[in-house]
Amino acid sequence: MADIANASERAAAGHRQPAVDATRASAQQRWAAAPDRASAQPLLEVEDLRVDFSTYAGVVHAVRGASFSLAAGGSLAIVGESGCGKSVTAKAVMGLVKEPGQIEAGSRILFDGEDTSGFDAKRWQRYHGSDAAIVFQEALSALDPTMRVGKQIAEPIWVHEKVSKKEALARAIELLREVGIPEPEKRARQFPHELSGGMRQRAMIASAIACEPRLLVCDEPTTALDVSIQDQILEMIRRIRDERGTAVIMITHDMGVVADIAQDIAVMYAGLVVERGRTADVFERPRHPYTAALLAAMPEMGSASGGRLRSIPGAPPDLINPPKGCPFAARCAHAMPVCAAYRPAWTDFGDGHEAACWLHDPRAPQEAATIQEGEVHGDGDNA
Amino acid sequence: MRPVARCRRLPGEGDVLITYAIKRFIMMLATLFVVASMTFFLLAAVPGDALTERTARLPEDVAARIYERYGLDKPVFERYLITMNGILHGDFGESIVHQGQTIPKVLAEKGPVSAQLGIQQVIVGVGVGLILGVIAQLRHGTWIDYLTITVSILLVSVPTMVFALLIQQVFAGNLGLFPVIGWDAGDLSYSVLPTLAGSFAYIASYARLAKASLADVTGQDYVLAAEARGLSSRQVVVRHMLRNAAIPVVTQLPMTVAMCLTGSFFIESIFSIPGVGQYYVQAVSDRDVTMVMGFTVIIAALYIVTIFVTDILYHIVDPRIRLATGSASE
Amino acid sequence: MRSFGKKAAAAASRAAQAVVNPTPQVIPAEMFRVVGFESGSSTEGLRPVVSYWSDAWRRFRKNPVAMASLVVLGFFAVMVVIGPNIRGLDYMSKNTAYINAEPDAQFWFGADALGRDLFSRIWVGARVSLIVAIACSAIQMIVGSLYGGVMAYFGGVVDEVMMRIIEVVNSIPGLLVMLLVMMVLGNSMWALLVAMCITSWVGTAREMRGIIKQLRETDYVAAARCLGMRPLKIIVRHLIPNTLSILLLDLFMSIPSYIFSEASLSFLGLGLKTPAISLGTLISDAQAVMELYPFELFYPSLVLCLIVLAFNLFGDGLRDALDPRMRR
Repeated sequence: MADIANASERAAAGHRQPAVDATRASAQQRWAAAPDRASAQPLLEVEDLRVDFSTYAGVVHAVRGASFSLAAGGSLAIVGESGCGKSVTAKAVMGLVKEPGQIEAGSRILFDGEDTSGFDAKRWQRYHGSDAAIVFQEALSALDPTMRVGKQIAEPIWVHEKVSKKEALARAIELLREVGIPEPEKRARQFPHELSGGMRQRAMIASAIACEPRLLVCDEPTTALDVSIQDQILEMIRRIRDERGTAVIMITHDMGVVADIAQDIAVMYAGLVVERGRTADVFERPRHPYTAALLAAMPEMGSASGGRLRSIPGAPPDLINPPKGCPFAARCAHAMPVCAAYRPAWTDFGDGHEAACWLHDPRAPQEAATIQEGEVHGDGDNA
Repeated sequence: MRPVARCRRLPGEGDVLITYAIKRFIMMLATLFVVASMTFFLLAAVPGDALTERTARLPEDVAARIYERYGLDKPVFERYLITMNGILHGDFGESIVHQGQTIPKVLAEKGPVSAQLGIQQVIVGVGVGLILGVIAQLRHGTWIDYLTITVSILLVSVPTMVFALLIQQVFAGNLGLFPVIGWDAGDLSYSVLPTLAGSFAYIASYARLAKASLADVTGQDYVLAAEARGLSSRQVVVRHMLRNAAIPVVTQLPMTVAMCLTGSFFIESIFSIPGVGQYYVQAVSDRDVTMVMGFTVIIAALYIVTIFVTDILYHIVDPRIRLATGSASE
Repeated sequence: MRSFGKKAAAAASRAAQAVVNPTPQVIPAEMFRVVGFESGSSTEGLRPVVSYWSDAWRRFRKNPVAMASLVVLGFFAVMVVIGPNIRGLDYMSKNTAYINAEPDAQFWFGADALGRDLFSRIWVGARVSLIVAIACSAIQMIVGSLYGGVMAYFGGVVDEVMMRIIEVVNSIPGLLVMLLVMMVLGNSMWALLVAMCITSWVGTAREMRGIIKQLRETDYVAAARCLGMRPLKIIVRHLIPNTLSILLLDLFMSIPSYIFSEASLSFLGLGLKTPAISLGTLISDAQAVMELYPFELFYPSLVLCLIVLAFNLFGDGLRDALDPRMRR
């Protein structure tokens, strides 16, 4: 992995990321999840993101208000079950929401203080690959089946760095080597389907980091892989973050992945961010019943034989007619009448740990506010 | 009608490919044999042939001699063996309607006419169709899209012969612009209207095909991924979208070429063009069994070769077909 | 896409309301008491579960072009039944007084070279063309499904041999076979049916084989089998509903091509022949006099094109309705 370290040095020496190491180190120390707290300007700020999809059945409000931020070199996990809008959020951050999807007016995505809604085609091109890059869940469908792998990885290089395609291809082969693909010369000449799942995902990552982006969005990069390969891929992403100073957004439904990789976490449910904060804080003391339920649904090491996995009863709400109150109310063991009626406000628990839940309202019964992991769905075992 | 290639998995490189090619070649010969045999027995079952009419008023011994000349006096099975043997040696026999005419002679005379007309139709029809379809999909939702959709569904709904007749009707009045009937090998203007009439259907179907394949590709992850690498929308279209959208088009193309080359039956009949298609239709009407037999075998052979070419093309444009070799490993 | 604009706007405004739904300063205290969720209440927000077919019908209804084509098809269906009798004229026997009569109040579409009412003849012809096309499509579906089903059911050597047969048939140029069969069987309607179906079933058979084989592998069929569901029940419950939509679509997609084939064959003088009436023979008859009496060519061609157009539009709408993603 000396290669990545070297690359990181190269990046640090390059004009694009001056003194990145110093700022990163301090940012990591001072970094707290709350956007308003980061003393340095965050790399990415998302405020009240809303994305709608027009379908035959009606307008699906896939994302209904997601706010989070990420410091340069930081790592954020966006967690939630399928259909909660986390993938759409990732696409929105990358500017890849396509018809029939639409980012609604009022949503703000700031990259390095620059509003992406003001980007023209040229700026988007520069943004893609060079500022921010994405790793898709299914490498097989995200790689062009008719183009050799090396050529695809070389694309961002010659697009952004004005080098010849031949040189770009040579760099692509180096990248393949860096991400741990044996015989990179041979693999570069192969087509995506000729590679194994793990290799394809490595190739995708190679293509994403080719131009040293400052932000790497990983949309469930390990979901389609075998468990052993999953660990290798996660390890690689972590190394990229640490050695290159690339900020990482990890989209996942797997709390284990979150614990592995992310300093910060944003929990999404039914298109809304319901809790956010430092991963350590949130894991230790989840403040939203949904987060607590997710954590309880996670298998624990050592207790596998005795402990029972807890599932959350019920199903997420329909996003064509989303509930007007807290979306989790219908599945929440602690639900109060107010939950269904009004959307809860944010409660700040310090150090950037926030949750949107009525239980933390001063008017709520005191015992309800002390939700503990596992307690939330005592009667959910049977589901 | 063309998912043939999709099901057939081509093996990868080297020996496997040679084995495959040999297997396919044997299969092609077998198919051709079946077609020839089937055609022969179908024709043998026809109640009365061209000779029945020709010999009806002749004295019996003369009639018998004529039958003998064409070998039609022999029992069916013997005739079958003789015919198949002839085909093996490239001898299809002599027309029983037009004395002295043989397949090679007719082919040499009429083949180039059909081929020229066919190639012109393919170029105009496929070319214009593809351009329209691609533009329509790239300008998705604009007037040019709606216009292309509307016009192509209208064109798809009009049979070639109605087109041909309409065009003839329209140009018959404006004398001198283009000849509305006949053929002159040296004068291209004779081919203008037939080409136009014949290519309409292809314009429509290829515009639809191109648009649909491009639309299929548009939502794919690899297109998003390409954009996410910083490619301009033009680069995304050229490098990734067109490339993938070309797969169904390229595999459709050989069949279109084959159909055009074998002569457009309707166009040639309506415009009185002395091509293979018109000759074949005439031969069928005249029950000229030897010529029908010969042309059926030749056209079928062309057709079978075309299917083979399609498979090879499919292999070339879509690398995934090599999946069968199982070279994926880590 | 545009059709649900109004609905979208309505929904959007509803959503906007939800977002700005102001939280009042004073919320009654009784709203703050933990009640938990009632069982079943979590499904409240879910869309009502609608069956595949009613969902398809809903999508179809929202497509104005498809609905219009349905209406037009309905109109043609009625006209081919009652059309020939509307004018109450004799359209079969020669009438020298009206030879090639121009369209007028009596002969709406004019009269043909033998002085017979073209309006009535066109509907008779359309009836024949439609019957032939629908019959051929039905034969294609039935033969194809049975053949494909047998292949998929037995598999192994049977599948292999039947597949080879398909490959051979598939390699035979369809039009040539049609001409040959017509030549052998003569110009009857039965001959036409045989000629047009003799190679066309191959595509359906191949498709059905693929689908059934694929379905057999699916989890829910496997689950059904594990649960001890009898084969017949599996076929009725799973295979038929899953193949029906594809068959239905193929049926409507293939009808226009049969109408074309019939008209083309008859036009070349190799399909139906006068005195049989079909759209093809009408066009063929009109060709002889088209320079002098273009209307005789125009009306049958127009009806032919409209029917085919309606079927094409209907087929497109049906495809979108049955499964927007079906053609991957």
